[in-house]
Amino acid sequence: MRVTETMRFDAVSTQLGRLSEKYMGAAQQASTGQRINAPSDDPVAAAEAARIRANLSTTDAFRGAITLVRGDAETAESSLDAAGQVLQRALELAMTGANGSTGPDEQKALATEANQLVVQMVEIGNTKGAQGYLFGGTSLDSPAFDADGNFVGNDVDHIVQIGPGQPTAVNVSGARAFTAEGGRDVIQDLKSLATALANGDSDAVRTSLDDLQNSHEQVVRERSRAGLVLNRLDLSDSLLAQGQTDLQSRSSAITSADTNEVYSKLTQLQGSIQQAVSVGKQLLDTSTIQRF
Amino acid sequence: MAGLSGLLNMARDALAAQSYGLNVTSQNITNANTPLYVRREAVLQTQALGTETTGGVQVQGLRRAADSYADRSFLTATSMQSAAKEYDSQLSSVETVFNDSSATGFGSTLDQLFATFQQLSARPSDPTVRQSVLNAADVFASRANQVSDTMATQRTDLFDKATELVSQANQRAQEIAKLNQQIVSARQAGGDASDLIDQRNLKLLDLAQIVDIRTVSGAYDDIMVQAGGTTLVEGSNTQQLGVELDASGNIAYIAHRAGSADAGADITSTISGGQLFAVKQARDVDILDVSNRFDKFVFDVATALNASHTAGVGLDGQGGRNIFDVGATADGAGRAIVLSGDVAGHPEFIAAASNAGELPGGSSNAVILGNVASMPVVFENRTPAQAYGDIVGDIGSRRAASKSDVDLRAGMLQQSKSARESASGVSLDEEMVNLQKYQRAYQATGKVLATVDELLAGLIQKVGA
Repeated sequence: MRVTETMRFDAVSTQLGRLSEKYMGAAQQASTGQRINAPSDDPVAAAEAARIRANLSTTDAFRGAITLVRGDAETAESSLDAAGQVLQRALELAMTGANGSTGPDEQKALATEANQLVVQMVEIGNTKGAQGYLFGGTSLDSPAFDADGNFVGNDVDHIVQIGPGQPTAVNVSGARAFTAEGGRDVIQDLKSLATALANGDSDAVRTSLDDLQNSHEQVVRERSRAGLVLNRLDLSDSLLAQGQTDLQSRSSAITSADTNEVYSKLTQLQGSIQQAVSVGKQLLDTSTIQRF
Repeated sequence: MAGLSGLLNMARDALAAQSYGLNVTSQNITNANTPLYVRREAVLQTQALGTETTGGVQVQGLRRAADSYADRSFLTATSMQSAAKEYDSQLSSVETVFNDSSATGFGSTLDQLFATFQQLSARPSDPTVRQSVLNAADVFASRANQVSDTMATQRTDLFDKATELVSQANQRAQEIAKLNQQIVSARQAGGDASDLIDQRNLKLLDLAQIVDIRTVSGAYDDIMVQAGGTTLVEGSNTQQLGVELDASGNIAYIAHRAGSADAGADITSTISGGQLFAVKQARDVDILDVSNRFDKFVFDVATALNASHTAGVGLDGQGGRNIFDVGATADGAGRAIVLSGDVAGHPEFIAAASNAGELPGGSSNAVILGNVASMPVVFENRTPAQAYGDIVGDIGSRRAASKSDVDLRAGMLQQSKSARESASGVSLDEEMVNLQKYQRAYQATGKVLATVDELLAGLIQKVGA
């Protein structure tokens, strides 16, 4: 094969060009830490990375939602705890009242306290959370109980997607905790007690005692449900956190450059370029022109 | 056999021949770096005078060390490489649009929209959250517009580019036809047309970058140029190329006689190389595919979200509102999609609740909207994220293929360029040797002259005295 000047120069410049291109690619990987800087660098991995990114975003959103609703669930639990204590006190009053050995003055004092318990219970029923009234179902804007202690909310659950599975109710139903929906109308029972005590009707007080017992059980039951919701939120959050870590490490396994590999490649390419330059110099020098 | 005076004549011819050789050598050296210059050789031969042997030398002329096979494959390789480069640069623009590696690409706007639905389900009556749903939906729509617009603009630009390339090709064809004419006249007059042929080769190379051509040489070194199965140049005649849009908005290349009013022939499908091919391929196959797929994606996502949204009710208890206005079909959905007038400016109309009974805290419809993210609503059976990944992967594969094609074609071009250079290029080593060769012969001829002169001088002295 005849070798001409142009071929010599072309060979040198093509080789140097190719090496520079490779060097640029490796330098980009090293500086960004990313193996994939465009979908064409690895189409399958790029598609997978896009899906993982979406997945991560969904996971973040689930966890965000959990954070947003957790506070209300905590408040609901502690409110029901307080409601349980109110009923506990009412039971004590009822027991004292049913005793029959209490005088009219004492009865009156008991009735006054019972009336205060009614007010407290209505206050608890109208507890506000981050969005509005906690126990009114989805009717957030108006108090769950009116001034007379009548329930004016609804029994619709607050549904939130807190993980990839089924949507979950994250609220505590005021209707089921405080009204006949759950078995007993708690406030009505407290009111009956107050009336019975005020009237000194010890039979009525005894009846009330049974009803209040049931009311208490009802509130405690709903309180444990609130605890369950909190548990579920926590469990879901820790599963999501685990999933997040998995997704992140998968994403990084797919898209990140192996630092050691990239740097050794860079060094190697640097060597190759120097070698190519010196070979090129020799190739160009072999021309006989200088000798004439 | 000639006498001494014959020797003088012979020496005279020899001086002329060697200086001709020097002349040709210096031409070669001068043009060592001229693109497509074909090395010349001085053709010398012994002089014949009838049956007489004179032993003299005469210049027969120049020979161009051309290799028509190497030339043709160089042109073909040029067409293929030029097509691959053009195609790759167009696909690289499309790829940039969908490059999410910085997490600011289009994919993240969809993720963001679904994330706000989750927030909405946690805080269905919060005006700030409702506003952020509207904002995210608006960003999704306007980013979709941008992506589609970018591709639409690229298609428009590519048509303009095709128009420009075609007019360049026509220009080159005319120049080649003109050079053909000059070459034929030169050759018919017995002259040498090497320089003209070199010039024509440059024009052919230009033309080959635009469209793949085939060349057939004629009797007087004129050349016939064919492209896309039709003859572009024959002798001094040319056919004009034209570009237009066919009924479906795709590029069509037309060939017709210069100056004639006929409709011409559609040669689109027979062009298989050069930039014209790449422009057509990128514009009417790849960008169109990607753009249609993207439209379908946007349409499917928007339609699914609309279906869920219309089923729920806003804070005012009214339902049946769309989130997006996207049109009835996927055609052009990417450019058409906007935040629906039903909800624009009214965060309270976002349907978080399923029915008026659960207002204002009902979140069940927000959950349904958020769950669209994990439902197979796009491309018949893909979730939005899967489908978007498909689009990204598809573009990545197209570009990866075109990148490796560029490397392949560049390698092949390099090879055929070397083959052509090897046959026709100037080797300075060779020329230096030739320079010496002619110089020595010239000097030796001078010696012959001196010797004859001495002999004659001696003779004249003896006889004259």
